[in-house]
Amino acid sequence: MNLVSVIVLDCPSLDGLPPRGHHGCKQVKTEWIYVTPTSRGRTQATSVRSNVWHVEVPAFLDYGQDRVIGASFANGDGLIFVKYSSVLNWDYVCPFANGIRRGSGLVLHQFVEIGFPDPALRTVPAKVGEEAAYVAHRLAARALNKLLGREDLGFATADEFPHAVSRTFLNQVGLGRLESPPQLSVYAVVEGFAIETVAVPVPNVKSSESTRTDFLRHYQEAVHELVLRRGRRAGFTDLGRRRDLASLAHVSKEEWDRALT
Amino acid sequence: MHSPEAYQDGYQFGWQLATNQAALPLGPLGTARRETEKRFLQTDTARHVFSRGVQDGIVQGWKSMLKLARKTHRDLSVVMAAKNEEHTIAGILREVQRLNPKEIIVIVNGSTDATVEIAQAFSCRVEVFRESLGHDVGRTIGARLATGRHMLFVDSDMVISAENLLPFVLALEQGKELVLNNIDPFLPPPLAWDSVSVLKAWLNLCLERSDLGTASMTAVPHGVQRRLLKPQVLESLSVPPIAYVQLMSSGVEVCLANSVDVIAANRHRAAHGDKSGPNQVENLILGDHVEAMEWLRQHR
Repeated sequence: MNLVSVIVLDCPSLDGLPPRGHHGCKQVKTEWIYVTPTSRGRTQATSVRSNVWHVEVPAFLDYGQDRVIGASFANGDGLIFVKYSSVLNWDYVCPFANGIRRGSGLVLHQFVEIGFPDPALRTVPAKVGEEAAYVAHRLAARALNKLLGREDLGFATADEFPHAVSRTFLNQVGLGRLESPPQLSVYAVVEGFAIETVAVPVPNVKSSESTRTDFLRHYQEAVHELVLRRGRRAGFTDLGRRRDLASLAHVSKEEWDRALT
Repeated sequence: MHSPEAYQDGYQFGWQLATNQAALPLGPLGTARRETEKRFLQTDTARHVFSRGVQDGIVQGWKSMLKLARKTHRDLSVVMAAKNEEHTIAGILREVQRLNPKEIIVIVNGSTDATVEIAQAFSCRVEVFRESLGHDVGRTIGARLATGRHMLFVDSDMVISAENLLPFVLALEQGKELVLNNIDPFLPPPLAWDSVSVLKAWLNLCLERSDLGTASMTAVPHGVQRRLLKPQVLESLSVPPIAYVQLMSSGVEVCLANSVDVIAANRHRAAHGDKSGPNQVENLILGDHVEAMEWLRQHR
């Protein structure tokens, strides 16, 4: 892999080189794209250094579009998406690059449940008040992974950061698909790309702009995509249900009696 | 608090809970547990004794109500499907009969044992299909044949006492439109749930009813007013999560009437060789939820 693009989302307004993660910029073969939401109505990209871009995007963009715009400036063979608030150390981002290097199409951050043997890998909700939404997000992610037949992925989802995609995978599915993160897992599974999870002690950061309705809608769309690819039951058995008899619920009593006798 | 006092206090609390408020919004076990924690945090023994008192009180309360209400369930139709259930069907029919319903409809399908004969020995309507109809199709057929205003659905492979069924019936009689079993008290914390529970909770999230936890029409017992069973819903009873989202989307008044532990019974069934196997049934339920999600996506 020649180049890795690290796309840092939700950056505050920057003046020159961003203070965080810049030690990562010293890494060879990396390109850093800092995406800052602004009140301006258009996108503007500035080259800060040879391997650092600063992209300003309108703050009112729909969920996931900042990700698409950031990715459109990337030249890397692998793209790593991180939140500005979660870029603490290049060491935490590195395993995602390694995952892409090993040939995975999608590398996700593995949620580590409280009680995991290694306390260093524990992640907990930021605020107790957010617990219900936090659990809801986890449930949705785990349910989708189960429907994909990838229960081993646990709670991992591209709806959370960091995560990485390979250039090959992105070329196959198209940039626009980054708008709906849960769908990335569906594409990866049905298109036969490897999905890998990485457990790093980074706070689990779910998309701040992802409201409850938003994230549910994205997961529902992911299920719909699965249905389009695998049929109306997403490939799950119906165990020989006599639906023809059930559909008799619509007919008149005489026809019903006739059909059952 | 001294133990006998804790038990007595709990018993009284449980009895009142059952007799004054038959349809408990969060199920007796959940309510009792929270109440226990609120009042008896001091010692584990007192908490345990109080909790036992509450549960005994609830059961005794229901028993007394059962006696009082013996002749009042003239609008109740109980529906169950059965396939090779000769070991359990007599037990559940006996309990259902204690409710004195208007009718009991048993849809026997694909049975090769004595299920039909046993069912016919009880005063109930037995419809026999030589071939297997598949999971839950019997519910559609039974509901179509029913004439009562209130419908109660049970499974023929697990015996649930009349005392435990009564809150569902009373909730229906009180006008609740959809009455469900609250199994959450029997589940581990949410992040350790099994796949089926996760899917059920997800469906409730999509319905913007996360307060219902994992409650759904996939779990028995559950009840519904027959007037809500329009042909589309009637057909969907064969795929319970679809019927559930259809009813919920039409804005029915839903109620968690009781907490009946059907999880242990399901585990027992899996361990004792359900022919379709636990994974097969799990996959069936997952597929049902996929269909329900799609229905919801298309109709919202």
